[in-house]
Amino acid sequence: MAKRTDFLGSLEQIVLLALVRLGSDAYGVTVRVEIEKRTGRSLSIGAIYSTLGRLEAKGYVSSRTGEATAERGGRAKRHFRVEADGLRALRASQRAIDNMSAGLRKRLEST
Amino acid sequence: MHDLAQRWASRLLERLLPEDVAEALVGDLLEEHTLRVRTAGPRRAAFWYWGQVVRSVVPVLHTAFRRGDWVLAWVVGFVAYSFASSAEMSARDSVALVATHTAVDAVPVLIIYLGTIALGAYVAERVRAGAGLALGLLVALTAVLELVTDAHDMPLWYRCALLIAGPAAALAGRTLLARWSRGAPASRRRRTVG
Repeated sequence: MAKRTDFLGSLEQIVLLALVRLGSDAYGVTVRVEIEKRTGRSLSIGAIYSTLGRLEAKGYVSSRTGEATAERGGRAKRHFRVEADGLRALRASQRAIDNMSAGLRKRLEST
Repeated sequence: MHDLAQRWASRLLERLLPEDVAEALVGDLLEEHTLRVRTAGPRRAAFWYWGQVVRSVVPVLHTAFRRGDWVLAWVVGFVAYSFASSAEMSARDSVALVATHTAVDAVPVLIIYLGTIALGAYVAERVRAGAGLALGLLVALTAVLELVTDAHDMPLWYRCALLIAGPAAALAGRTLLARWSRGAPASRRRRTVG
């Protein structure tokens, strides 16, 4: 029997998609900027980390400590990557949205 | 170079968050701020920085509570708050026996209350991560209620001072524990770069 996967919230999906896009360069700044560039939503860095913490607790995302730079005041970066369970949950959530909106394009676009 | 206000804002976030998250989050803020100083100018960058800090406080608090098992954190925080409130009431009764001037009486009561809050936050945080923060929020909430309802017989300055110094005392107690448990202040352990 297939493992049951959680449906993700919209912010969780957006953050996971940003991680997939950014690959090995995914950390707080790049994730925030990528989301702002693609969705027009200017999220707070606190909201990004809160979401990443939630995803990490579910095992959908893992993190490692990266390099520190002078412009960061000597503070280390934290790089994130999507795990296999995260990709599975993302696919399931996207499929659910696709299934629910199938055949509704005209109606959704008419209003 | 970041100004004093920005450093304080960063420290506030560092106090609220677990160390591993705080280091990365504040580092990200400083990195993007430096970029924005170059592209948009120092004033707009400072405005952006403060907007980020203010908007980050709620999700950051939420994360801090979740990490520390928030139900237990609130219970422990409430016990510590009850202990601090009892100390305040006892102090008020004791001071009332020897003095009569309300404004003067309030000074030792406030000192005792703030000391108990700091001690309570220290102990609460030892028992459960996030409990010191819960205590600070409870103190802030009751201080606001007392200001609005005017239910206390204490002077207005006392209630205003409590609103600011109460949560600060709880944060100080929490910070004390963090520093002692790490063995050295975070600033001393931070690696120096560039």
